Amino acid sequence: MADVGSISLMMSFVVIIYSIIAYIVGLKQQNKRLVKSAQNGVLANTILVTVASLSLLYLLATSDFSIEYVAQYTNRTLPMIYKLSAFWAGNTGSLLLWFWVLSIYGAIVAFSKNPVGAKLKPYASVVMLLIGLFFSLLLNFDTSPFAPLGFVAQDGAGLNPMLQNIGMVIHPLTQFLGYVGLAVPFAYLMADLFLGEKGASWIKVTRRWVLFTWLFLTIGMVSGGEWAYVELGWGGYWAWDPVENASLMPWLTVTAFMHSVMIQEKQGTFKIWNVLLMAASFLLTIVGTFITRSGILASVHAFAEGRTGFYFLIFMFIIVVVTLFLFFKRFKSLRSESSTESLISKESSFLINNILMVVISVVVLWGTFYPLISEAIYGVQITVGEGFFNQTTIPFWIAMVILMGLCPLLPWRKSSTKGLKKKFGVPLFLSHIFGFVLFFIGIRDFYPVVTFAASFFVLVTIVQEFWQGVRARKSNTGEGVIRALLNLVGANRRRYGGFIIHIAVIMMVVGITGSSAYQEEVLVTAERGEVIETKNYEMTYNGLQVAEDPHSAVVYAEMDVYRNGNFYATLRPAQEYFGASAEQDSSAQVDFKSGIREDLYIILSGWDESGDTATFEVVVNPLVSWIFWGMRLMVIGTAIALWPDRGHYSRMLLKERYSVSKEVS
Amino acid sequence: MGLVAALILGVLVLYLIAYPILTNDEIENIDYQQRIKSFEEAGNFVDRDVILAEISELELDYHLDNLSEEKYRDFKERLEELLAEKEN
Repeated sequence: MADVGSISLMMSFVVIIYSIIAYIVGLKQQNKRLVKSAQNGVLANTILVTVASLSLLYLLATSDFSIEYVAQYTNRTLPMIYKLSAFWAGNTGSLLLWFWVLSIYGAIVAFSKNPVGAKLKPYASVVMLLIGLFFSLLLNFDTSPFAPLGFVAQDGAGLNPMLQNIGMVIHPLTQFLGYVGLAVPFAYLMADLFLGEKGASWIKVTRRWVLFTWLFLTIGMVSGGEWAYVELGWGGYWAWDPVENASLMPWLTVTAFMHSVMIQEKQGTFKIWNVLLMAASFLLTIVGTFITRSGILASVHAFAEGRTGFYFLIFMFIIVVVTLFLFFKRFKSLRSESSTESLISKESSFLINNILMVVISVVVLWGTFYPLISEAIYGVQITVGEGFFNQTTIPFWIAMVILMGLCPLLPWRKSSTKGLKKKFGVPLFLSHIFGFVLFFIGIRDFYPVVTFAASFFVLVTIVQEFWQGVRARKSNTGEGVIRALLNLVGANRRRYGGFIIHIAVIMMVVGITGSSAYQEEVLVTAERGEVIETKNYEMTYNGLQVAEDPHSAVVYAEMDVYRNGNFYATLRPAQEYFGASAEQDSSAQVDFKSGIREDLYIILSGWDESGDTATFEVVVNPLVSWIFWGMRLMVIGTAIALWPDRGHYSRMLLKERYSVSKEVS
Repeated sequence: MGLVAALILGVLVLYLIAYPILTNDEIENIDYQQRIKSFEEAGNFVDRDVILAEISELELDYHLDNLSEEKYRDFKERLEELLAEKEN
């Protein structure tokens, strides 16, 4: 089966080169047959990469230890789901996953029936193929997932225990769907710049695609945090690790883009900004892949050991040069058609929101690469810790939350004092009251109070917006409240889906603030039968148990937990040991009870030989579940915003015709 | 195994990329007039995706200079009308 995979990858390389040439020649010579042949080449490539990927999955599932990758990341006792998820556990497999998703997206672009901006399609396909060519080159000539081991191993090395979690099945997949998804708007952007379309068409074609991609970037990032919380056993979910930062940076720039693109659609401004944001977003996804795949941030020496990182560097250089070349070539035509009239307007607030997001992104980029820069300059790696990222970014995050309440409600162009009072009077008043209430109940730290009050402000503005819409519908149509609400959302899915996404963000902000500012943690050693007390919890340690299966052995402690004197839960924090080399391959299996107010989170840190005494790390994490429920609500909000309206394409074509006739006149 | 797979995949790939080149001129000379007329006659029975695909094809032909400006505008307007009827 490895032969099938290798041959498919090699054929894919040839097909990609053919398709690129056929597209270019076909478009240049206006030969439709060649263009169609190239289009079918894209489909052929997708089939070939799919065959290669299925071959790797088959090799992993059947434990073919004659293949280096299979022997390196699986073993015989690994459950099937983790054998399959080992596909993306290593460098080569991840690259194949990138390539696979890219080839599928490439086929979606090439065979898209979307009539809006249709002439960009073949050019965008060429860009997608060129990106694919890079991954094809890597997989065929640098690091093949089908490389033979040279002998048939008795068993494999197995999968890193920390990756044996359902979160690690979901997180990389969603992250890659998001990362690779940005290739599509980037490809349309390049096509638009190449054809000199004045930066308008690509926005229309890719608007929903960007939202789809952003959703997966969000799920990828938050599910990664959820995995860290459940699996890594340190009580947190975000550590400003370079790999986490790599997912945050494009998320920020894409979020900024989704907002600034509204200004371009409405007023024809921000074209240059949007071009730069999208190019930066795509580049940051490559930077993210580069960070995780090159080992460069562990040390420049690690980077020098493999060639993959070097090739990524060349690829990034080419992207920057080509983008800048096309950007400057079309610079004049990208200039705005109008300018901002007032500082207190929707477009100004969107601009500030954009600047904040980009600033955070730059700060995170700087902090992420600082160890590398310091090593290059001083010869010593100076690591930048959580403190740097928190101190530098928290004020910007708070400002962004406040803007989240202001932006959607501010009018276009300029606003009157009367209008501002009407829109923001009640939310401002209530959020101040809320802030005072927090202060009086004992929440007095500056940043948490401001963040909670700002979040409340946003929530009130959104509720007010929904209420005004429902009230207007009720009086116009005589509908009941529920029907009016449903019809209101249905009639303007993008706007109200956006509001639901904002509520989800607020939930996440509240969760992050509560859990990071008010986390309580104790390290305690208890004897069997002893009661551990922390906050309003009483936990009785009932001793250790051992559970074994062919795959692993689990040592767990049983704890009966009471809250405010009432039975709350039985928790079983554990250490799991894998394979023969038990001492090395172990991972903490934390146990926790999640609630709306807080999570009780217990880690089994150690025990004596008899098991009569054990040491626990008990963490009380306030509001942490709000983060993960926020993500779920965000999926619902995005689905509503993405759901096509009736007459979607007709309207888009009408707009396109209008903008063309405007240009002609 | 590898050889057989290579053969099957090779034939499939060749078929896909060669078909548009070797086929008769149905790709280059689409009779839009006739096709749009048949859509108009079929009315509501035409699928929305078919109309969308037709507009995409029309755009490609126009971009490749296979259609005059006048014909392109006429066909596109008619297709857009059909689409609007279908969508609303």
